[in-house]
Amino acid sequence: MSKQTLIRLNNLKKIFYTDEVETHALSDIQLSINSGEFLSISGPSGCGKSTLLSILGLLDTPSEGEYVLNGHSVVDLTSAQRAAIRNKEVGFIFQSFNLISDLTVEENVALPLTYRDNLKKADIKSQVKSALEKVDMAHRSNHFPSQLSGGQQQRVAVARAIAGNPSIILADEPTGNLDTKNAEAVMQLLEKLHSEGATICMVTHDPRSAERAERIVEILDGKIIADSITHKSTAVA
Amino acid sequence: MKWLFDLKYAYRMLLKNPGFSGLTIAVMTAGLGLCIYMFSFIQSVMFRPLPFENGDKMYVVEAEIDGVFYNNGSLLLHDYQEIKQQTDSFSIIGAYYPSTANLSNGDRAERYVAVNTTANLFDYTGIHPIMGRTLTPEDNQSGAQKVAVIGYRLWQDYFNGATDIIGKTVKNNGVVTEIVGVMPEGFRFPINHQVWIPMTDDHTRLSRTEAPNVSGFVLLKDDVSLEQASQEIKTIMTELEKRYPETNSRTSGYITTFKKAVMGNGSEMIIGMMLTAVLFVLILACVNVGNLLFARANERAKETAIRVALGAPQYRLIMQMMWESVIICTIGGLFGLFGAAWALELTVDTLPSLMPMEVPYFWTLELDAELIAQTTLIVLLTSFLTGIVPAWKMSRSDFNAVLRDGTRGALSKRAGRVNQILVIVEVALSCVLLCMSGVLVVLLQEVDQTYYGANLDNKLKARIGLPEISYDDDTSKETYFLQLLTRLKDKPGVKSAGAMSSLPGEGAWYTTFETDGREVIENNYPRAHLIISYTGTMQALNMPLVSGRYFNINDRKGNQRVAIVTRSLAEKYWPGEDPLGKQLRWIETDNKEWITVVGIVNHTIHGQPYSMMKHRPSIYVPYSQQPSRFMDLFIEVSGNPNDYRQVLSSTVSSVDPEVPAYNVNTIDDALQRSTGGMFFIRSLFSVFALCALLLASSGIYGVLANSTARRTQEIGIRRAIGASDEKILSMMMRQGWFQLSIGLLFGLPLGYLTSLGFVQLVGPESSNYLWVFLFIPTTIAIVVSLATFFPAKKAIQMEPSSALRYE
Repeated sequence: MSKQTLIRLNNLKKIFYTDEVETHALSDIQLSINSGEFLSISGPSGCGKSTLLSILGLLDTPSEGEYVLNGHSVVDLTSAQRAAIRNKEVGFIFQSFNLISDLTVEENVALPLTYRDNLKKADIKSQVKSALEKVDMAHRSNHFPSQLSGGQQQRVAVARAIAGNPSIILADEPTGNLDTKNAEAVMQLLEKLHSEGATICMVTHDPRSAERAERIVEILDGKIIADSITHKSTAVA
Repeated sequence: MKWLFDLKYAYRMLLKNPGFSGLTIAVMTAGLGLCIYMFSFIQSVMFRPLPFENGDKMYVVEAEIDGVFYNNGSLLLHDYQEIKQQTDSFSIIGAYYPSTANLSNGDRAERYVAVNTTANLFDYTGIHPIMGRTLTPEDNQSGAQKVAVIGYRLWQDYFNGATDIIGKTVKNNGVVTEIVGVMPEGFRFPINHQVWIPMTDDHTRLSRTEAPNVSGFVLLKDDVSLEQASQEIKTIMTELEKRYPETNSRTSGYITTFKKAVMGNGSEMIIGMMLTAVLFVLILACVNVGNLLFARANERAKETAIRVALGAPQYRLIMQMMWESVIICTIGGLFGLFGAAWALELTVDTLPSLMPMEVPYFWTLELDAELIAQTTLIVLLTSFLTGIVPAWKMSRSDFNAVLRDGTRGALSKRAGRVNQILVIVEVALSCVLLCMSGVLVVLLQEVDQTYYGANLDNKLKARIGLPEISYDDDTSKETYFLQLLTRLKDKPGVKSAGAMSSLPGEGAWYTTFETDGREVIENNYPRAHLIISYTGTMQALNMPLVSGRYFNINDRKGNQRVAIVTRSLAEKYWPGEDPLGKQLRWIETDNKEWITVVGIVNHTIHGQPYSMMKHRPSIYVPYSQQPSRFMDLFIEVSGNPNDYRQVLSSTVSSVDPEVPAYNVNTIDDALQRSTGGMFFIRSLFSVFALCALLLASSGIYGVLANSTARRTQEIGIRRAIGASDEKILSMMMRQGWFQLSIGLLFGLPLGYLTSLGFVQLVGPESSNYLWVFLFIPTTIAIVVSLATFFPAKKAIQMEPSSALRYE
């Protein structure tokens, strides 16, 4: 497995301005994520981990600092450019699944692919099928999200995240809304994806989930206070 | 084909919310349907070129007297000749004047609408006959053999479609006339004519007072604008006014399309107001649908945020929202198109009963390809207008916050401001429309109760036109009407009978005169209606005598010439004096004898009871002193006047079989038809106003209910910290009333200004219409108060704990 640097954050800051109050959500973040890495970002509520994930996913822009993705700086991109990169390079998994209730499972998974140019219908269909098979949800492709359990919905969300073969999967508390059994199934799915070469960055405040990654970055008050390798990494190595 | 994915989704969303979809489609159907109907109607009656090759360059030249536009033959023949010689704006110029063709073949007499015309009328239209020939310049020579071209319908009805019609003769107004051509079906130019007779009047042999009035038909040259031609005509007419003050005092000329000429005075203003009204209804519909889509976009904020996270380009986000408005507006447009087609059909069926004349041939009220193309454009425009604001707003929302919180969030300041503006716009627009409609309703109520200066109830009328060739002297005319009226009075059930050149309510000749001892400055002669009245007619019409006497049998030719004038004329020209014994004489006739005023009657209205006509004074002269070939005949009956139609027609035929009675109708119906156009407009405005009220009230309710619902949490917080229900309710009501006040602040003055056009046109006698400006704001205030109260009440009925958790 190659260990190229996929993401590099240098002196990254995020400041929110509300009226006369200046809130430093992130300060001097230095972080590199390699291809094929399974990283978890943990910390207490309000520490800035979701903000960091938003910046990583190009949903938000940093106030200062450098963000290099796949060797290209993505700080000064336009909204449309960021949307295009988000569509091709990033796959999101949310805590509350965030499936569109009026689209079928198949349509939800296909959604990011429909935003790509020059992708034929047949290609979309085969990529969707492959993604659903990976998460073992192909048999539910014509169902609507409301007809699925929470665990199944999150598996569909994972399928949507991987359907476009993104460079990185960003998972925001992916097990937060699930019971223990389903949470375990989702974590196993992420581990499986990682073992197949996917780069995963997961935000969680659950230490047990964090332990499933090979690297843990801890944040407190907007700063990285620890960046450690777990035993899993050692095992993989 | 990615757009199909979005389209399919939008379609599915609309199916999923049938209430929302049904409401928005109904709103757009109403707005677009009215808009399509009005566009079609206005284009057909006003703007679409005549259906000829050069229809867009075909205009008519007429006279304008005292600022009033006259049509259908108002330009003096001599003035037309001057224009023809001096102007350089037209590639074809000709003239016609309307006349009556009493066709008789010995045992059957029928009256048709005819036109005496120069021969080039047919080249002008470019239409060829289906049989025979059209008129030639030789036919226009005085002394030429009498010929006529007839219309297809006349050929079928009167001549049973005889194929050997060409060369046959028929008596037209008593003159043997050869049929030389038959025009194709549908050809009725200029308006509804069926007989075309060569105009043989020679202006070089006629004095200006003898010459007929004509309409000039002109084909504008390619390099000449309408404004240039108009200016040229006005310049010529100004010069003619200076040269011939007796006949041209206060007279100018104007050029316009045939359609506008038929529509008459004030029509452009009314059409403009109708367009404004229908545009307001459409805007209201767009505002309503836009607002509903906006509310829905807010509800779907999370979905949009997910799409953003998945990398949706902004144009796809916008299009996702736009598709819904496209579907709503397209379905609304389709239903609107069907509704408009139905309304047009209804109008075609209704119009004949509202018009004083046959509906012009060029009023083709139907949907055509051009209108469908325009509808498509309107649908696209409305789709854009209704969808773009919600779509744009959603594509730029704070999706990070939505993704993080998973809620729609409280109502932002900006969204709240948009809602406020929407309510203000709806209040203002509905106020304007309701004021216009309300004012028209009140004004026409007054018109409906107009007293024309005579008792016109229970009377049946007809028009009589004596052929010139058979009735070429005064005695024969007088004898005819004496016989006719005597026979009519003898019929059972007939209480009285009479004849007048124009009955009250009918248009009359508005001509110049002078009074003895009153100096005319710069040949600016006064004008009055000249009405010829058969002896006993004014009594039969119960025209109240103010002073003096009615006409009697001694008022005959050779005796002192007498007149009865209306009180309005007496007060204007002999104020503070006794008008009896005063003298006046006509300017535009060769007979310059002085006429002595022997009686005063109350003011009578000849023509429509609107401001431009109703205040004009009238002068009545006895038939025996000024016999006329054309008279309005009437009988007063006991019972239903319609039951006497046959009696009247057969009695007319019994006096002279070659003279038919035409335009047989009750006077009541004729009066209603003369104002029917305005009542039709009132009906349209009432529909606009009703739609506006429904749209505005539902829209305001929707906006306020939506904004109140989005403030549920805020209301919960206020109650949690101790605010009483009354305080919350009062706060909400105050906000509703604030928006109401701002809306009325704009709407009321605008409503007043737009209604002024109607006020000026109708010229009401009272100021009752001003009550509308109190009634309408009160109505809107009640609607807004209710629309504010119910959502607010619903909000305070929720438990504070539930309100705090409300999403």
